[in-house]
Amino acid sequence: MIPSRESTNIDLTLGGDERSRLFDREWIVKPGPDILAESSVQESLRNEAVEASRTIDRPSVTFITDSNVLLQFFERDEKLIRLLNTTFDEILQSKRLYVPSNDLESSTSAQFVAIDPRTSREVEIEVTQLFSLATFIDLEPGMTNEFSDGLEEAIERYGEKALRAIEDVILSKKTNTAIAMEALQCIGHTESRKWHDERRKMLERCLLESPSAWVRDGAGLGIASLDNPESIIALKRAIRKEDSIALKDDLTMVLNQLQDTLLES
Amino acid sequence: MCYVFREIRNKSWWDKSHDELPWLKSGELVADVFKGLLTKKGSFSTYLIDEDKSNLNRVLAAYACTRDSIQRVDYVLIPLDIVVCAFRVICIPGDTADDLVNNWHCDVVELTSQRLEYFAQLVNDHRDLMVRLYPKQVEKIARQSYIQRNIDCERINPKLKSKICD
Repeated sequence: MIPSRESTNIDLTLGGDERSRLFDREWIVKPGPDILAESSVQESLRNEAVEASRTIDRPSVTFITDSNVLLQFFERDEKLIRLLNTTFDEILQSKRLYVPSNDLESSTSAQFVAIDPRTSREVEIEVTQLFSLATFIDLEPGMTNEFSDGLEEAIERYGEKALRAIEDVILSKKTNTAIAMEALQCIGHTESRKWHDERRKMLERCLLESPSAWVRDGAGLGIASLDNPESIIALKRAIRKEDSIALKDDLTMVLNQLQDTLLES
Repeated sequence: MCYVFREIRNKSWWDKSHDELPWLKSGELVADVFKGLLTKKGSFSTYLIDEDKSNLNRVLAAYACTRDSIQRVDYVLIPLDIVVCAFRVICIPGDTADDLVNNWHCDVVELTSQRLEYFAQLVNDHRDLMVRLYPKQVEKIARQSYIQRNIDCERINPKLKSKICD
């Protein structure tokens, strides 16, 4: 997102006694005295956020406000906290946000932008390198390896960008299908609730769109691991159009599992 | 008739290869299948399963708990008499978190590349006894075994412990 000309950058100086929950951990946020002195201050969440979060290693958040408006980002604004308590990708998608000013009576709304630590291209390269590495790794199911760890870390850190990059590698056949299959299973097999819907949709796309039976099988395994009944529709479609009898049987098992999960819930 | 349990890593290599690899001729196996039959010094692990398969879930649970996380288990059961006719089988204690299952552990030994190829053919001949268990099923079986006090949680990966033993 490119800041508008009328906007003024205000970054945040950390310190003081105000606390805000961000990225699942508590850390201290307070506008420094510089903000009072001028409306454009370049500071960041950088160092503290590195300590606060394992998921973001180079965060840089810039709040863009109307000129001459001072912001207190740490006010008890639930919406702000909720938004920040996600990932940078989600912050990037938000255009306007209510942020109370120092003087609560003159509260104002403010645009903000998050500078994502990596561009999509950089994430693509990182993901492609991971897939290259996988060629030399023994991908034994249930055993930790650099590839599965790397994929999970990339998704945790870059979210949808990483998922898009992985999907691209798989669907444009930039990796062999055996590795793609393991990757898809890894994507479904996660303890984290983060990016759950995005993972599910990506797995469903691979299930429905890939010409490779092994990739479709991997997508089925990933969907089984996520165990989200919302995939039932996609599974039914996939089973209807599946030519491989063995895969049809396996996908039917996954469908049964999800239908049971739906009944249990 | 007892069975030999052997994990095969990926069922797809056996039953979906012809959908995946058009160059594979009928009756041929893709070489990837050997990744599921990895040997160490010419041997690999198996477990003995009763004729009525009454100990199968216990073996599956113990096997799943040797891993770092709950994942699919793709396996095959081959009749024991067929295996012992063609291969040397030595039963030595296994190293799972279930002591009884460890007593059912056997190694198929003295495997040459030719013998391994023959074993692969045996597996292929028993595709009707090839099974995929999805992670949720594996977790359920492992938890059940823990509830029955078969699994010693002190001997499994800490990550698994929270899934199975809590």
